[in-house]
Amino acid sequence: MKRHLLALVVLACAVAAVAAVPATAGNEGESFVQVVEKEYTLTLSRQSVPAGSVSLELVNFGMDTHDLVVQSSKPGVKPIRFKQLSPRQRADRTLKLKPGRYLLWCSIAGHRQRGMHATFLVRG
Amino acid sequence: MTGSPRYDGPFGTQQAERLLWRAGFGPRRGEAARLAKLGLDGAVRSLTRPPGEKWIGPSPHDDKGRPLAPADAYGHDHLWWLDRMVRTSRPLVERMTLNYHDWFATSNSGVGSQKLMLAQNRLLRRYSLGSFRKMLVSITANPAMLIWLSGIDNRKGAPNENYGRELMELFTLGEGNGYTERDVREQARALTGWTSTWKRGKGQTDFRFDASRHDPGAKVIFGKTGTFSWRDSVDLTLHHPRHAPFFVTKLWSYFVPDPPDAQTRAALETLYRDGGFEVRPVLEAILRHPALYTGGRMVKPPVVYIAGLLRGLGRGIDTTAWVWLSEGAGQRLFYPPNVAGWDDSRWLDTNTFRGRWSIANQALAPFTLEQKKGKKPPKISGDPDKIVQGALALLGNPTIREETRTELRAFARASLQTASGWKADAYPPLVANAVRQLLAVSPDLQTC
Amino acid sequence: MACCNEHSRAEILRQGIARAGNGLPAIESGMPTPAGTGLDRRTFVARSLGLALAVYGGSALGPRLLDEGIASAAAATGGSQQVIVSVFLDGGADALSLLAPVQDPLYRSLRPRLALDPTAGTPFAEDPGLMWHPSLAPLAQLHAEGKVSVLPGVGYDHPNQSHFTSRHFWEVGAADERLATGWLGRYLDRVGKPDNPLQGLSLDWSLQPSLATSKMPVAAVDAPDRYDFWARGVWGDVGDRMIDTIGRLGSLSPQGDAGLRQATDALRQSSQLYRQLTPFRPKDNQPAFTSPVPYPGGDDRFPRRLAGLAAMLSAGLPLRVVALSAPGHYDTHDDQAKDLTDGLALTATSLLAFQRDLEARGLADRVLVHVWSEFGRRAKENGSGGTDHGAAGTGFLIGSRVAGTMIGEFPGLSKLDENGNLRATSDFRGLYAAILEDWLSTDADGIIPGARAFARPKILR
Repeated sequence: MKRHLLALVVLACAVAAVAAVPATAGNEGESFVQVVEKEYTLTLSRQSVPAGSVSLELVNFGMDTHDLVVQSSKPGVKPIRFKQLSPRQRADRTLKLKPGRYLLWCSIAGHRQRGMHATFLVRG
Repeated sequence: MTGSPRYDGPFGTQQAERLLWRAGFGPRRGEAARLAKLGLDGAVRSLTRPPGEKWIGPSPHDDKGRPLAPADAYGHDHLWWLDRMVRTSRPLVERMTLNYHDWFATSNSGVGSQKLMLAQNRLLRRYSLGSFRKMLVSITANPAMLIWLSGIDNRKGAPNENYGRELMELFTLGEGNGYTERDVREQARALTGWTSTWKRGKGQTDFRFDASRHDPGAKVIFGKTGTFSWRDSVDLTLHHPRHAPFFVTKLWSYFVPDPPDAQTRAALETLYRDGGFEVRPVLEAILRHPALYTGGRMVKPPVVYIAGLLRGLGRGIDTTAWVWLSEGAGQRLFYPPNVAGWDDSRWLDTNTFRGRWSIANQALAPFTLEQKKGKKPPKISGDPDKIVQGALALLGNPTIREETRTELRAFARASLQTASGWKADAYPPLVANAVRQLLAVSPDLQTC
Repeated sequence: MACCNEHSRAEILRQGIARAGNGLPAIESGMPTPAGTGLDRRTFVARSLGLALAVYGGSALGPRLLDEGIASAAAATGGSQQVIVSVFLDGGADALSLLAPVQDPLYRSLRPRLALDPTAGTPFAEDPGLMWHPSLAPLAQLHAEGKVSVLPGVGYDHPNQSHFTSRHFWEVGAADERLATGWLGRYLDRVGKPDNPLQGLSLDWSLQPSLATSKMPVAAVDAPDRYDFWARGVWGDVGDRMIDTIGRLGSLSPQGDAGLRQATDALRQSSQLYRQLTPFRPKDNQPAFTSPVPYPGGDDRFPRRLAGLAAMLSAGLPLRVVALSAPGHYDTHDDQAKDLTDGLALTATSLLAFQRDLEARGLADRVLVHVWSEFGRRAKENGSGGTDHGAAGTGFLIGSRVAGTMIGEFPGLSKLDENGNLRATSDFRGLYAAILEDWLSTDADGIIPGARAFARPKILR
């Protein structure tokens, strides 16, 4: 335990302002998934979760601003949007997800094209 | 027994208490007295050769009662490990895992995967009391480390010196100690070949050694020539004459604040070399050494402080507050500030002290003597001595200096002295709460 | 008493100490509030339970009798302690928008979408080709008064375009990734005192790295009214005495034990800092201080931190170096126009209010504000309504004593570097050296590595 350099990683919590679905109380069977964003990748801590209550957390480990859009592949479903996060910020929301495939991507200009997108399966 | 000195003073509750703080996370209630009964050798062996793990205490959960998801929820990784520190019956295993987390400091800020960090944590635990050679080989090939120190970017024709440099500078020899810049470059060449496959949405996966990426040519490292590969890199550093002195001094520094004297150092080096780079014999010698029992105190690292408070109070992990409270005191597990780890000499300043104040406040919260609305204040003794004794008992009867006890008594006395009328009943609980808080943040309990 | 009506708090303290030994006016109840601060004298006086530790009174005015922080503050400040305030624009602020070369035809061709309207902002008095960003009108105002020195192209050779690396260089005062102390921290290591954590104040949740020292204590206080020691189930005078006891435990001798000393020092310095900030803790839901000038409102902490800073300086607190971050997002890869407009407006309005506050309190001669960012941005805009990381950027020195003239000429758009970025016409290390030598009166050697190699610009009038 020698040198103490300056780069303390302090992740401040920035909870997204608009909740698409309110968090449920008595959360049995709530699953967790973490989405890590860097330049220019988007990585999920797991590739699938059971349908129902999902606590989805977005963490920005990059050096630029990022955000997240969660879009069901079924037509007619409104996408869920996370607000922009600065580096080292994070946000989490509890979502009620129906079974199916979801697309995730960062909507900052140019980021999706550079690779910030992934798919995610909700098992029914 | 070799030439490493052995402590031959009394081995009572006080000594056992210090041993449990240095080699673990402090005693549970009564644990120091029980350990003292084993005598020095018995106590040390119970730590270095523990039986199977038996978790003691309530299982962890977050504020909403949910079980932890250490790979998938921010902060749950920290809580999961803190919980192990609180409930473990093998404290030295867990403490050495923490020491190695500092030694091979890898931060998730660079890795980006709690899952990979947990896998590294398992590796550190596997060899925590075992072979340093196996540890070094495994950590060199460990996915989190390969990402963190650019091992997967290091390939034939385009060497990346990051890991090769830190392997020598921080993990095995010490900065500039017996190696040159040329050795760094040649080590990098020897370490080439590790690679992974990036999969969309999954990140880096399938970590493997790929011979086509490895530089097969002859390298000159520490004056020796050979077509060295990554395992040779490890062995070359282990057998470097400066490694054993570096190793024993660094290991010692986790347990004793002042460096070992020449005789001790030589004895520990011999134990280490003769033992084929096994850590246990060296640990046992350190934990039996007089310097641990008669020397000065060490500031408890923040997670040790937290786990110790919880062990002493008999409380489990039941809130995610520990994540940011720990950060406020300067230590977030899985996020060391950089590859050199945490700095022991700088744990405490006006900000981190305030962080520890908040930690103590949170730890004591469930035990607060509070006046419920519409009811009388909790009935407790207004005797300053009894209040101080009560606080000590709540925290597991830690050893404190006489002058600290005097200050706490003086505070209690001064606060109660003019407490007449309604204050006579209302003040003792306030004073008791305050004494517990002061005791928990006192220099005595910040150190061990 | 006549003295109390006429003088500001700092002045009274200075006079008080100066007349030590002659007997000083005792504090009596009913004494009027010192002019301009809104601070009640009783709250200002050190709170030591049960004892009336008056700032004045008593014939032996030694530090032992007085609250150490305030007394040594008064003794040290004595009217001549210079203060540097470092304000960081986080993300790499776009130099070409802060001071836009609107008369240069290259500007429009490089910035088809982002070029500012040449009539929207104040023309830059020192160079007719340049225009202030409209949101920087408050700074243009101060510039017209001779209180702003602009660095239109400040940077360093071999520019690094990583936020963290470049910012690190600026914070440590060298192009050295491994240097672990801040340039202002090294200044404090040279001139600071071991028992004054306020000498380096980071107005933030955590320590601004420029202030990282190797030996001297410094403090990070998000707001002066928030450094507190609250314990559950403790209140009233029991709580006050509990906090006092932190200081008492911090005064027990560690008896040569280094570990115990580290812990004991932390208790003592925390207690000290708490006492130093006593005047700023609100009582009975009333704010602890008022400002003689209005500051921008809203949720952002920046104007409140500056207002609190002015009040602390006015109260004679022993601050030497202060660091904080400006509001706004300056890493404008997209949506640059809006982000800059908003962030710069609040920053500039707050800085103007701060300058006026200092002037009203008679402190303007003692404070220098340095505004900086880790780099500027590329000359050519990107395809997303923004710009990417560049090299040389814009910096400002603000204060009553600055020279008020440009430091380094505007680099110009026709001679960009090989990456298409603005060339640096001044080096931040030379600027630091000048600040250390001319403003803080200390040798830059030993604080800025290789200080000799950098030319010092003229920074003061």
